[in-house]
Amino acid sequence: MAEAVVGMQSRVVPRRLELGAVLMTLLLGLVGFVVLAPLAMMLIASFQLSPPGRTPVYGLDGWTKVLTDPSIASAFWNSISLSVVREAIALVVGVMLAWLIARTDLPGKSAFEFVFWIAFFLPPLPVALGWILLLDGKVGLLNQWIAMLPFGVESFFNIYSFWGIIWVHLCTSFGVKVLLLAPAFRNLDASMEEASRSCGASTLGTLFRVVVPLMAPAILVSTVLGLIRSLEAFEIELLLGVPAGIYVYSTKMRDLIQFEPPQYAPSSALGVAFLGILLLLVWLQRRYLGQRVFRTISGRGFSTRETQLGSWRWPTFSMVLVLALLITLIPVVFLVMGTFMRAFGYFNIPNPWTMQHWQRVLGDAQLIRAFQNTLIVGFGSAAIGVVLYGVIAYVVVRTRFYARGLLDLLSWLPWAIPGVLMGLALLWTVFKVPGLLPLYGSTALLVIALVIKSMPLGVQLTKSVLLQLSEELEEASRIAGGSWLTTYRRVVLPLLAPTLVTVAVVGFMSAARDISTIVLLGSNQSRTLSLLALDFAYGGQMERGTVVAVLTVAMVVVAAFLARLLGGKISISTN
Amino acid sequence: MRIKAIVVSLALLLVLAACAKPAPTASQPVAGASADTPASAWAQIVEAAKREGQVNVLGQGGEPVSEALAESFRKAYPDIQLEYTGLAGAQMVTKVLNERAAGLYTVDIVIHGTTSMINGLLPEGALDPIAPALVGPENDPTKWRGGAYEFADDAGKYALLFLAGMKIPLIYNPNMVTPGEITSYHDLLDPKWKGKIAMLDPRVAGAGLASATFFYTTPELGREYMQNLFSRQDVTITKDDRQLTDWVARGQYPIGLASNDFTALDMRSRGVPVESLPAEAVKEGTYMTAAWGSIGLINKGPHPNAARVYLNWLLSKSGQEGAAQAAGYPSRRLDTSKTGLRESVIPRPDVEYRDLSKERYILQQEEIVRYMRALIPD
Amino acid sequence: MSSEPTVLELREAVKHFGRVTAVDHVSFTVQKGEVLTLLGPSGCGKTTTLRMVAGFERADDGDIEIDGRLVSSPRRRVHVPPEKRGLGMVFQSYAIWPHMTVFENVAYPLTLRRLNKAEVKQRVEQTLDLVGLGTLGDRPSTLLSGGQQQRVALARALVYSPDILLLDEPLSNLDAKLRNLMRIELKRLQERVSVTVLFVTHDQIEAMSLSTRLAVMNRGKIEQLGTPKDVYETPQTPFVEDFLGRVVRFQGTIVDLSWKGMLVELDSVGARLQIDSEDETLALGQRVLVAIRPEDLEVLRPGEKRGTNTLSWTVEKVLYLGSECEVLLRSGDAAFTLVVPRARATDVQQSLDLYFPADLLRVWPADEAGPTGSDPNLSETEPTPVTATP
Repeated sequence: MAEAVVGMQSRVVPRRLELGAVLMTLLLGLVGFVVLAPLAMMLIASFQLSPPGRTPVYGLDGWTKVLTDPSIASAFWNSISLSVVREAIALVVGVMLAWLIARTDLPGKSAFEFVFWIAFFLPPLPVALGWILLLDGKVGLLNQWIAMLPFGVESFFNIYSFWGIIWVHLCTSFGVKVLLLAPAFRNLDASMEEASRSCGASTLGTLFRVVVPLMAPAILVSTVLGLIRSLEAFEIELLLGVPAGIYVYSTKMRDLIQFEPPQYAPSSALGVAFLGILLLLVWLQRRYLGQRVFRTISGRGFSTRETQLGSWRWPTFSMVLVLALLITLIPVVFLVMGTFMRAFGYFNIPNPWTMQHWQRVLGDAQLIRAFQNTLIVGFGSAAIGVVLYGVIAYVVVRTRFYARGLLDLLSWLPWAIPGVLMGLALLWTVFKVPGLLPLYGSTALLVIALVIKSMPLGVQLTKSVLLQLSEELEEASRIAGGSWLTTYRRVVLPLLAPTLVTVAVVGFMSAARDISTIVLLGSNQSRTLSLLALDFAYGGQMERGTVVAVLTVAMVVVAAFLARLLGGKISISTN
Repeated sequence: MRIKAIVVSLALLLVLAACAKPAPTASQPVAGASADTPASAWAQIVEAAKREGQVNVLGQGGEPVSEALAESFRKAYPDIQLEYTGLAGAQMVTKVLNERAAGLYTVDIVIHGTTSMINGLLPEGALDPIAPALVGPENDPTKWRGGAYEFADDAGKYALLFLAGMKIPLIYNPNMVTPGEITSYHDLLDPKWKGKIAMLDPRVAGAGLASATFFYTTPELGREYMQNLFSRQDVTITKDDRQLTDWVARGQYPIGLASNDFTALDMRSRGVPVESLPAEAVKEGTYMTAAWGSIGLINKGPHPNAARVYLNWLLSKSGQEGAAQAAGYPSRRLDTSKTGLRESVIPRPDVEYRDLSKERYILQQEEIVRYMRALIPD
Repeated sequence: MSSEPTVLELREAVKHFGRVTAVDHVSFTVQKGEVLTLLGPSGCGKTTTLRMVAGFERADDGDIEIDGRLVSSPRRRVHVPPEKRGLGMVFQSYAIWPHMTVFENVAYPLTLRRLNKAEVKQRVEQTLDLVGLGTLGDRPSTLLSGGQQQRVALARALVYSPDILLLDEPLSNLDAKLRNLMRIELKRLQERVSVTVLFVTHDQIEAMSLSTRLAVMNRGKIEQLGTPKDVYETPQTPFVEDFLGRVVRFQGTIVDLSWKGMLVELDSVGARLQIDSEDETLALGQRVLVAIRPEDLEVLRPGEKRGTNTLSWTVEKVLYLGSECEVLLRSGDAAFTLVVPRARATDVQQSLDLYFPADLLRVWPADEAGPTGSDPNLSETEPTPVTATP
């Protein structure tokens, strides 16, 4: 039955209201709220000259200060230069490492991958503490040994410096890069490399001219992720930078709040300014990646023949071994050593070693409670986070939801607010928005805060893996008769499972380490290990803080190990 | 898959279970409170306090302090649950003021330095006069310094001071500085100390700002001295007391100003080379401080009777001794033991000290900070 | 026309992507048991049409009916989701799930349909046998070769006996040899199972050898729909002519068969061509059609020798078109037009030697889908050289 075709324009047929669209809009609303409310608070606070809790007085002083104060400009500059240098080095080395692990016959590469996996999860603070013992300008062991050498110089290394900060960060950055890039490298079709080799290109030449360009999307994603992460970094800059007078934007924000009276307005204005930069970076990333498909996993066969390293095999092995040890074992060993020192960092006092710190900490009744709280808060935020980030990532990547671009953008925004202000912003949110007050002081609020905090990383990780999955894998399930839910459950989730495990562990560790976000939100009952450590530091008991740091590292290693057992990696599952 | 679902549901249940704390129930103070309350009236108050069942105290962070202010009370009054939260001054003010602005009244008592009290809580009407709550057998002003309670606020009603210690002028490295070398603050202007002095940030509330206030308000020193010190001597600033102590002990900066020398004392006991210069050694003397030892009674606190019981306990001899030990400064209550406290921090009974915890000085802080920020730009 | 019932019907299907009309009022029907191919260059809308039938693309206008049931009609606000259409589909990338074994992959649709374990096992094994993978049930799917993956995909699509099988360029990811093999197998499979097939490809030879009917598509429209013979012999538009005309075909007889392949003696030319074909259904003495794309031919320089599979052609006409030239070649009764790049134009003299690579020659039975044997292809018709379309 032929319809009259003449004069027919293609009509826009109005869509029925579908359950899917409704649910996704609800999701958009939820995410929008939890992300935009604190941001809005921050924005308002940047104009509010009177301290919070008092009758508001508005003005532009905060912004004037941000825009004219040279120390703030130099803090910004430091942030940028630290990030760029760190990312550049991490990228070059990371690409090499990922390639070595994924595509060559490097001996022990699965062991190395595990080491870098651990490095990924190691909290930077304990690592920094360990390195302080070695690299402190005056009393660092390494410096002392170097000074003893015939041509030795005093204070060769100084960890309280620009390069000190970069070094400690690199210890974790390498792990991040390897984790993100190795799976993508692995999924490349070996025949592309072989084509290059057969044209006469050397191994390295092939790496740079063929492999790297093909990996460009994955590399770009991890670079932008890394840049953003390093821009908002805080703990290390606080520990190593502030004593040397090197401020970055996040430590500057904290600094401002600690003045008498606390300068909330410029601090918030600084945060809002950073938001601008963050948006720029996100825009850049989307522009260059855009909707580009970089499907490398389609369920199609691919060969992964290894590149032979030849005579370079063992030298490379040694170099990678040294690097792997440098970023994991060495700082941890020295940190542990440090916990037995009577006074941290003092080797030359009488009886420098003692067990007392361990005894005090382990015998402390608060420790058990702190552990419990850490577990509750950590698991809670990890579990909720995984579900939420997975759904957001799926909606953004796979559906044709009209506002998925907006949802994507929203998921980035929490990175603009460092923990320092996030806690405050959430506090103001809970107080100002009607109906939220009952949350105050509850563990639930802590969990929500931490879920928000980890959202950018969690969503990005999940997205990057989802992007590598061909849509046809899901379509094959649909056409075979599977509903959307069945497809998600039996095809997407199992393939995503390793990444989701990783995201869960990342969320857990991030929650366990967090201080600044939750310090204002929690009550005495909900004190976690990190807050306990802070308490020790307050009381001038740095040594006990290091014991807690070691306990945290132990927790990390266990968690990372478990995650690995559960198949964690940042890739799809290929049994 | 199923395991995951179970884990997820468990986690969610945990989270839900940990949700909102029950709202505090209002309670009325038992009538008939006055300075010489007969035992039966006090017993009624204690009963009422036990019925309230809880008291919320905000104080300084750190284990020694919570030990002294919380643990001991719990042992004395096991029926009254004490919620102690340790926060830094600025955070404490933020928490209290924000809660109140939202109509939440969860805190009964605040124990903090006077800056937070006077500059933070008092202007917002968050403090009630404390005298009506000072009932109970321990209430005896005659046992205190000067025969009366001292208050930080000029009105003499709101911020009760209970600690008084002498601030050490400076800490030094005994291998690099001989004690007799420094007899006056002006000695620090000697070119040989250029680049060798570190100081706790004087622009930040705490020992740093207190020292700056001392310089500012001491006639022999004043702005001129500060100008000379900071512009000529290359003073390095730090915000962390432990770091300051480390710098001094390792010889990086052999002289440390404005130190909270408890860290130094602690380190010294472990064999680390750092010493404190006693106040008598220096011509200009030093100032008195209450450190974190001032009490405020929060307006509309949820457990007024329990608050009274706590106050009564805190002001007792044992309560004060515990606090003094934790702070390292003596209590203003005269019959408390001073064993274990350093000689150098105990105020001489015959000397007139300026108490920088008082409102007059606190109010000057903003001006001083501004001056310091100009002297030491960020 | 076949008297079989219609299993698929599209009526004026339309799909826009932004301002581009990918599918422009496409209509066709598919009868039970036939193979309908959508043939065309990339971007012509064939894949989009297929995906509209599958339900992955929502039509903007037009109706789609499967087995008389309306599955898509924007006007009537009908859109049956893919999982409810009862179709089978093989994707271009095969989409074999890496986290499952071969058995699990193929069993998946059956488990969705709640069959009991024994029945599932039986049907999966049956289907695996059918595609020639009987022994590979337990193998993890990541350890399969390309050809094996394709077979698994086929098995998965067929195991629940769908009414229609959709094939999205299933052979284009295989190497030439495998492609040949699979093409033959597909044909056999289709006949054996007698499933209706909607096939999408850009390869004319595939289309011609496999289809019952084919639809040549260009820019979203069907230019011509008919049997391969009709379309090939009587192209109705210049595009169809051009698109299909680019095939060199001969009729011949198999004169030798060995493990290496076969030797076919061409009718009109009288020469012999060695062909690497593993088609075991072809017998000695059978009449066959041999085809190759002109771009696969090698123009030999004067004096260059290659041995077997070299045919000499007389140059009848040369048409210079700037960067290239069209040469009308003839040998005996066979004639065709070859496009030669200008750089090689100097090699074109009186005669031209062409080398026919043995592995790129296709061969299939002369009485099958495809122009029937009585037609000595091109000797009667003057092939029209490509000129600017009016």
